[in-house]
Amino acid sequence: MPPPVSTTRRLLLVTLAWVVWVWLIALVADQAMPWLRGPTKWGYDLVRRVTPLARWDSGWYISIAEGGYQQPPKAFGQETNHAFFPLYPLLVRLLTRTTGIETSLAGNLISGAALFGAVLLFADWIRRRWGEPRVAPALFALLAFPTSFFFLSVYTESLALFLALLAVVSIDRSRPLVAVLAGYLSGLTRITGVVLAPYLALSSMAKSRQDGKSWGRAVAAGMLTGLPPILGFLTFCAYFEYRFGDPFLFMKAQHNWGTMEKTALDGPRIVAKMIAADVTTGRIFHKSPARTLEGVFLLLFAFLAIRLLREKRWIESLYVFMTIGLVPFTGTLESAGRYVLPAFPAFAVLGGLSIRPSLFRVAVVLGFLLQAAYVAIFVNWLWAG
Amino acid sequence: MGRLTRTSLLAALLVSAACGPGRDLGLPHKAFLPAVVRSRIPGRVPWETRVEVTNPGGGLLAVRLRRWPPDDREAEEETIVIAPRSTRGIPLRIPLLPSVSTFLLESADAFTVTAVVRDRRGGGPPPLPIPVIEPESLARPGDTLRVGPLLSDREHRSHIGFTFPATEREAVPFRVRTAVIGADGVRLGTWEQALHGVPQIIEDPWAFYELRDRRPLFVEVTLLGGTRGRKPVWGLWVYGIVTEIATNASRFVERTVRRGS
Repeated sequence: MPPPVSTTRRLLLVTLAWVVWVWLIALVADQAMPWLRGPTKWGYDLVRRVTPLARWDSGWYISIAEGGYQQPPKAFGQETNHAFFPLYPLLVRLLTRTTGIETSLAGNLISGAALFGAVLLFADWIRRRWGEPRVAPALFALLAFPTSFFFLSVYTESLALFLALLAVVSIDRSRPLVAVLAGYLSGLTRITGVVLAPYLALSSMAKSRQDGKSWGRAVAAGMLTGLPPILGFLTFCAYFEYRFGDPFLFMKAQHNWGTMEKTALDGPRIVAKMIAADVTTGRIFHKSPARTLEGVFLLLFAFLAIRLLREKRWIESLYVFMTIGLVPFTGTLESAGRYVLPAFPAFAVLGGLSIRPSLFRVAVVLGFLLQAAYVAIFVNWLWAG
Repeated sequence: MGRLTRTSLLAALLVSAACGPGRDLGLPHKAFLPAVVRSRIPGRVPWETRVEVTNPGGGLLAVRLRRWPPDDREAEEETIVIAPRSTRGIPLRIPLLPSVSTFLLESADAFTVTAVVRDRRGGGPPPLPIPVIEPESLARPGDTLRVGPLLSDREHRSHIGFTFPATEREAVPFRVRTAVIGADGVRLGTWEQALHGVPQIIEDPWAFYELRDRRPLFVEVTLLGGTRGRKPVWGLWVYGIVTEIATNASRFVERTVRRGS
């Protein structure tokens, strides 16, 4: 039997080359394009010391890592750091306090380490479902996706991806304890942890049935594996209840940033109104092309979820649908390109485009070019993602 | 050498390298100015700090000035040369209020420095002399700074400032524990907070610490350390200023340092 094309070493080398690419673009954009720089509300010290891949929401993670959660907002419009889940900044704090390195650098290191772990798990997950030939194209699809540079930034995307994959692959490998732990931690990482719950429950049930277990035992195993992400999320809520007397403070904090008072339930209506306004006023590309692209990413992932459905991969399709389904509840489309990143099964479908090699190559090159542009405008405070 | 030993040695080297160099105590003669300000708020007094350095010696004096924060990165550090037995004003190069900056001046030879905050147009409220502090007197981890009494009534308003020199850039943000104590000695509350990487002013301590009434109070600030686990070079300073509302005349309130064990 021939050895797999995507050996661990090759996968890590490809990922390392991509890491170098993104960092190179970020450093050049930071040093060589001062004319491009947009305004920021960050203080002198933070602007001076952070790495180029620490911008926008990274500041909130840094503030939690360095000073913990702030006092709750007293009025609408007061921006606080409660919208951000605790696990990632906690890891950043641990690394910073043990080594003394700069906080944003610690964040980049944790994001990078999580990405390398995620890549190996992703390869394993693809191999079991689509076979060896899909591994490399799916990895290229993941890395060349325009917003994938967030996996290296001071953001939670790579940790969320790593924990989701660790949980799913642990179910595949019949390691329920690891799956439970990873699921619980993902609930403490970001809101996508919650939509991981049904995915883990259904995956675990399917695996149990595959292993010849009864329906009763399969359902019990599903419950056991599906609950931890919810428990992780509830732990976060319980902490806020204990400390600030408001278990849903993270939602309040997120909606406090808007220009008008709203709740998560108002989100879909606001997004629909925004899209309608963009379409009817002809603003689609010339006024807000970045926002339009976010909508395009969302549609693309909806399409990929449908493709998964057509391949009879119900559980994966549900997970992708639920992940992108979170976007409208934020009340804006502007982070859609980042929100879709933990929906890893979609990248496996994208990798399927490699059956048309020339088209796939063009798509990958275009993806990398768009990614470079995104990195440059992110680093220069022109686009928050 | 075993693989485990080699790995441990490498890890230890990496950690020690990451923690940076040891404490650099700089040049022998030093002065720290804890509050250097300038303001241009329409309708308010245009405050400006006048900083002057005097060279009492017979030779040229080179003074290294470190501003934190400056108005631009290139102004963070500057060497000022002063002719023998003369005095020279220092260009401010700092951001406008509400930002407060600090100056750290160092030289191989003796010098004196004076700093006053005054109305840029002349006249106006009496100038406020800025205390010139030896960096050795700054609070180290475990030390407590006490400032007060701070007043907030019909005649007075007060604010406090947490400041530190540019040398602390690698050690900040600082973690501090602040105890607010009434003039009658009653402890009104204790808070822990992280001070960000530049000096920070609390314009209205009564509102900031959510106190029920505006009784005179003292603030005791204990420096717990850096949030990044790095040791400060010199440390933290806290000041309090009481201003007469009618005249805008200000004064620094008394402060003491209690050294930790």
